[in-house]
Amino acid sequence: MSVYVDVIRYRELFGSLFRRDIRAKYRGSFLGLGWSLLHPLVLMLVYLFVFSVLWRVAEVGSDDYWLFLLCGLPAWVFFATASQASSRSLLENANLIRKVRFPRQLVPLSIVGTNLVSFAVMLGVVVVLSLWQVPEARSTVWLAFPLGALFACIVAGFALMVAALNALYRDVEHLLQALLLPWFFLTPILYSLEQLPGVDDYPAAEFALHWVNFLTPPIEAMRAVLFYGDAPGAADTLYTVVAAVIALAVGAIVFSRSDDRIATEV
Amino acid sequence: MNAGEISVEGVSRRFRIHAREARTLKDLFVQRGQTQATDVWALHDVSLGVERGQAVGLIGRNGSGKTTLLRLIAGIIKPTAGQVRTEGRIGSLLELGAGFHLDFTGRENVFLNGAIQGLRRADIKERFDEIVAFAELEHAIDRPVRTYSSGMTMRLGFAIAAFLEADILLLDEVFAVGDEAFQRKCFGRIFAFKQNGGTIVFVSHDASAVERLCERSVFLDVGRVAFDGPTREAVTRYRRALADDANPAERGAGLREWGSGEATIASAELIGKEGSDRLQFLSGEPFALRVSVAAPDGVPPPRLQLELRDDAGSLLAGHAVDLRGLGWAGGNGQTSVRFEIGELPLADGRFHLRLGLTDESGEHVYHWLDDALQFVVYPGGDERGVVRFEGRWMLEENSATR
Repeated sequence: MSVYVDVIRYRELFGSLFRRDIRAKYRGSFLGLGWSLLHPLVLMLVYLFVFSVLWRVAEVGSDDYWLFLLCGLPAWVFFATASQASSRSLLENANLIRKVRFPRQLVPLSIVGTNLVSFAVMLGVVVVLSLWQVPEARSTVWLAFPLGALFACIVAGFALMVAALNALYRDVEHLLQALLLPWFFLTPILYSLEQLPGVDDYPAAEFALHWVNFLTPPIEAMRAVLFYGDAPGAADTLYTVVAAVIALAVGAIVFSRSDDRIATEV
Repeated sequence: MNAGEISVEGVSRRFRIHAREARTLKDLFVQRGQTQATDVWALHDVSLGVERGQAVGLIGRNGSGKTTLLRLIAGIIKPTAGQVRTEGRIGSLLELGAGFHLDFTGRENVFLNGAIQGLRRADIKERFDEIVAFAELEHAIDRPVRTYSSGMTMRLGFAIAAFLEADILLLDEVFAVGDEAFQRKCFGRIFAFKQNGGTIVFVSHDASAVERLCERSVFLDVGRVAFDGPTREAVTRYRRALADDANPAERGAGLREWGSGEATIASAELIGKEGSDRLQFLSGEPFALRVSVAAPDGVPPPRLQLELRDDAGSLLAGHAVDLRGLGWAGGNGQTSVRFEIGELPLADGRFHLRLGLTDESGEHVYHWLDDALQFVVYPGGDERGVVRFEGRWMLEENSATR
C-alpha cells in the first residue's frame, strides 16, 4: 500500500501538485471555485426542467424532486469528472514523468483531490438544503460526510486504475468517455430504484443496477441520509465499505504493476 | 554505502517496442496474437561504481544506452535484471524546465519544480533569491513562463536544479543553455559542486564538454560498457568509433601532429593544486603542466616550445625552455619536466596548449602537437575577459579634502 503511504511521505509535493491543479482548473476564472457549483447546478436545472416540469415522469412522491436530484448528482459529477480528468493526467505530465523521479501516483491522486474539493463544496450545499427542507433528516444528515469519504476512496482507486491503463492503452480514456453517458442513466440519480415501474418484471435488471453498478449503493446510502432522513441501508453501507477497500487495493495494484511501464510509455 | 555513491551491478534493461506508436485496447483484443512487439535491450550487463566526489562522463553514439542508464540511476525506471543502488539525494537535470507549467509565473514554477525535485518549501524559500539571481530573471520572475524565451526557461530550469544541494547530480545534455557566457557560468556552478564533494554523472554527445568536467568516462557501445577509464582515452575510443562509422579515411585527421620523430612528447597533463590530473581550473588557482619527453641516445637535449592559444587560435603567450638548461643531459631515454604557475593569470574561457620539441636552434622540429591539451578556466570571482588582473588597489593620499 506504499502507493498511498507516499502521499503522506511526499505531502509537500502532493500539496504543490494539488495547488497547481486547483489553480490550473480555476485560473483566471471569474467565479473561481463557484464553477464547481455551477456545473451540477446547471445540470440539475436542466434535468429538473425536462423530467419534472415537461415530462412529469419522475415524481418522487412530493414536489421535492429538485432536492432528490441534488442528493444524487454531486457524487456522480465527482466520479465522472475525476475519473475523466485523471485518465489523461499521466499523459499530460509525460514530460515530467519521463525526466524526474517522483511518486507518479501523485499526479492522478492530485486530480482526484481537486475534484474532491468541488465534491465537498457541493455536498456541503446539499446538506444545508436538506437541513432546511427535510426536518426529519436532521439527525442523519452528518452521515453524508463519512459516506462521502468512502465514496472518495472508490473514486481514487478507480481513477488510479484508469490513469495507469490509459498510459498503457491510449483508448481507455475514449472508452471511459463513451461509457459514462449510459453509466449515468444506469445509476439511480434521476430516478429511484424502488419507483421504477419496470423493476417488478425484471428483478435481474434491478439487481444489476443496484449491486453490479458499484456507484449505486453509496449513492443510495447518501440519499437515504440526505433526502429521506433514514439510516443508510445496512447492505448499502457494507457494500460501500467493501467497495472502497477493493477499489483502493485494485487501484494500487494496477498502478504499481504498471508503474515502470508508465515511465517508458507515456 | 556513503552518501554520493552509486553502484550499478550487472544491469540490463529491456524495452518492448510496439509496431505502433501507442498501444490501444483495440489492438490487444482485436488483433490478439498479431501485435508485433520486439524486445530491445538498451543495456546489457552494465556494471559501474561511482565514488563520492567523482565526475563520470557517459559517452556513446545515439541509442547506446546513455540516457537509459541515467534514468535507471535516477530511479525513473527499474532495471530488467541487475541492481542499481544509490545513496543520498539525487538531483536530476535530464531536461531543463521539465514540468514547468506555462501559465504559472516563474516564481510559482520555482516552488513547483523544487517540490518535484524533492525540496521542502522552506528550503526553496531560503534559496529563492539566489536561484533568481543566478538565472538572471529578477525582472521577469513574476511573469508567466509562457512569456519567457526558451533561453530564459532553460536558465530558470538550470538554476533550480543547480541550487538543489544534492549529493548526486545527473546531467543529460544540459549545456545548451543560453549564451556562451551563461554556459560557462553553469559549468562553473557544476564544477564548484564537484569541488565541494558532489558526485556527477554527465551524459553528452559532446566529447569536449565531457573532457572539461570529468576525469573518468564510460564509453557505451550498443548497451555495453566498451571502455571505463580516463576520459581522454574514452573520448579517443569514442572518436575512433565515430570515425569508423563515417569514413575510415577521416580517422586521425583531427590529430594535428607532425615532426621528424627523433624525440617525442610522450605525454602531457595539467595538474591542479591537489596534485591530480585535470582540465578545468578556477581563475587564480595554482596550475602546473607536466610533460614527458622521450629522446633516445644520441639526440641532444631538445628545446620544449609552449604556446597558449584561445579558441579562435590567436596566440596568447609563447615560451620555450632548453631541457639542457634544466639539467637534463639527455641520453637516458625519458624525462619529465614541470612548469608551475602559482596563480593562473587567465580569467574565463577555453584555452589550447600547443607543445613542440625542436632542436636547440628551434629550426628543426622533432615533434609538434597542435592541440596537445585543452582546458577551461572558470571565473573564481568577478573576473571577466581572458586575462586575470594581478594587482592591488590602495587608497593614495587624499589631497582633495585637505
